[in-house]
Amino acid sequence: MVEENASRPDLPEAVAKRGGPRSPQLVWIVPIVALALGGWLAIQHFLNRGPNIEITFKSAEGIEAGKTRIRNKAVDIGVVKSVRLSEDGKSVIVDAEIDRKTAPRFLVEDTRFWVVRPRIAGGQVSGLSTLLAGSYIGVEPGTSKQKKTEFAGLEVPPVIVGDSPGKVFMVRGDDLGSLDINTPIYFRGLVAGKVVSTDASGTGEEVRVGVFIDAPYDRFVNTDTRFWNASGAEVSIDASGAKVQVQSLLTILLGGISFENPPDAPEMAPAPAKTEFVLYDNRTEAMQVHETIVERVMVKFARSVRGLKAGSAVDFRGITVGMVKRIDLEFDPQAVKFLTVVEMDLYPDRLRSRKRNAQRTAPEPKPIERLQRFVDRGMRAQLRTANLLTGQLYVALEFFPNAAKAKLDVAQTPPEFPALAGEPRELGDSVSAIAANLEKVPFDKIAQDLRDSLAALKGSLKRADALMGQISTDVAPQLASTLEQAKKTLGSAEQALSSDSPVGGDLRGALDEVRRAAESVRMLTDYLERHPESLIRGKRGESK
Amino acid sequence: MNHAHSALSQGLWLCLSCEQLHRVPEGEGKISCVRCGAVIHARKTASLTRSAAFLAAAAVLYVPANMLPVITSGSLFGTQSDTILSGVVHLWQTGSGLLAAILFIASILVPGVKVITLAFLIWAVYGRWNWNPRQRALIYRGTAWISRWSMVDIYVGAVLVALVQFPVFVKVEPAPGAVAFAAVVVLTMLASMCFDPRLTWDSTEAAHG
Repeated sequence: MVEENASRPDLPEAVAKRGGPRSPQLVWIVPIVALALGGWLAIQHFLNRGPNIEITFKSAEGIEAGKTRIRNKAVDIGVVKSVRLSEDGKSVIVDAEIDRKTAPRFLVEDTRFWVVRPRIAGGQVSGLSTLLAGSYIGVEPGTSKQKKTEFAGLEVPPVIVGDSPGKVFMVRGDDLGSLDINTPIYFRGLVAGKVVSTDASGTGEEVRVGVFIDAPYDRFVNTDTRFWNASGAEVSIDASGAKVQVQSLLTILLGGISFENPPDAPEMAPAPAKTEFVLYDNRTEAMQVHETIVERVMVKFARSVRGLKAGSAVDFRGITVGMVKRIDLEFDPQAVKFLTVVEMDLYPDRLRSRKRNAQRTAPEPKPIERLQRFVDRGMRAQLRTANLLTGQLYVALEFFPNAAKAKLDVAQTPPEFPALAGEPRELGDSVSAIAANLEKVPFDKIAQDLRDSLAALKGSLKRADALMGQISTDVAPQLASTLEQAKKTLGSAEQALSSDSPVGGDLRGALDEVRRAAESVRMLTDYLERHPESLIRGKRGESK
Repeated sequence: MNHAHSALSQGLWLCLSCEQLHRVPEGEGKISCVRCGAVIHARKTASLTRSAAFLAAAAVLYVPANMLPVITSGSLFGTQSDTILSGVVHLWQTGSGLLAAILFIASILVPGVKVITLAFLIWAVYGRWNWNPRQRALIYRGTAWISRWSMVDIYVGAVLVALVQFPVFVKVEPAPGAVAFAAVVVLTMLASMCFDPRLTWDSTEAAHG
């Protein structure tokens, strides 16, 4: 083959350069680096793989394996790996991997998991981002030290997430109304918290509402604080007229609970968390019923109590000292008559001395004894009309020193408070009296007379009509001719009297004659006045 | 045909830059092309070693390239990291069968096949196999031709990252897998570049004398 090489002299000879070839071994650095890189990635991957946990939910709605995140404070701390049905098929089990670094803090016994979906409650829209991005699982780390990897997820998101400062109180009411989780709590119109739980009490007689009051408002809650349902508008018609009270437009739509302390309440220490309160229906009631001493008594009236209702005021000289609680009817079989029994709560504390504890010398008598003393002095209950238009009644307490002796009948439960027998006439009574008088008026006879008169009048009118007809047919033409003649007469008279008529000229001449005659007579009388003797002697001088 | 003589056996070297054939002088040291001045070798320097090293690196990185997400896309609907395989699955499920096939072939099959075929070719030369050198040459040409398509994925990713930038709404970012994937593609290219197909013939020639 070498000779073949020599046989190709046409090919150029390559140029030789100095320098040895590089070691080919260096190239192995490349796979080593790749291996190191790949190994590091793999190690990191395995190191970062956090522990797996199981969360049980009722439904896996919105949860997607590999997609759904587990988030705390909007930070991803894990991802759902798989979703499967539990063995009994009643729930779903979500397997999730939690971030290694955060896992120890989250995987404790009282950690709560819940699915965050879009929710509209209490005037707040939450989880709106999940509308587009899909649901995620919210997590709230617990405080326990006990490790755990299997959890039962909450069906309803907890309202208070994190260590928000504030306190939870329980409020008991008859009816939940429009309250719901997240419903705001107002303190003098400020949003001071929200409803965190709603459930029925053990006996099912009332609802228990857990309210979370944010700091700093929680320090305003003391044992005397009043909570009331601020839902909607409160329309009340009572002895003082009609009243509409609205917390705010928002509460009409969403409901709400307000709390406040009674205006004259003394400073008190803040109530501890979980203290129970009563949920009143409205502010008036909440503020009113701050009577710690309530004495239930009943009054029997022999008359109608229409216009009196549970909640009506019991009034003493314009001050509300109680409230009607219940109205019943009692049948007295012996006398065969009905009595209306009005049960009412009296607040004897409002009828006591203004002297406060320190100055009080004698021990305070029991409330019922105090009432007894008032009754002895002539205090009686009386039904009075509060509002003429609406016919509202109220129970008035008043001293009637001349009233027949009566006792507070403590033998009955509740004790019977004496009513005043003579009761004032009410508007209804007066109206019925007027009506009775009106009934005596002989309307039918009057109507008959009126009808007769009208008939007579009709006859007269008819006759008048006939007369008018006669006038128009007979009298009118004659009248017309008469008028014609009169016109003619007047025309000739005018002719006769006109200035250029011969009669006029004669008349003027005659009148001139008369004037001259009159002048002569005046001259004569003047002369005679000066010379009366001329009558006898005749004219002098002239004759000379 | 396998009795055609190689240039090397006749003391002739080819400049790979300008394809000038040379006679080679005796002696040590680097030889350079008389026409273009490029350093010339009888065969590519340490062809098998380099090729094998790059191939090994590519094989190692092939695993994270396919396991790690290559693209992180964030939108109002949340953030999502996609590996190549999940992208293929997603495309397949959403009915884009053709795209899924292209992506699968270009991004998973081709680099994988390339690594395997190159390994086979290197191993064959190293072991001085005589098996079907024509087939092996065909395989090599096929591998070299097909490798350019592996970069499609990276290009698509790069274009997406560059173009789809609407902060808040949509955001596409490369994830660590993309680097590994690009490295795999580059490394397999380097490996196939370093491999000198003439070695295939050398071994068969040697076997036949």
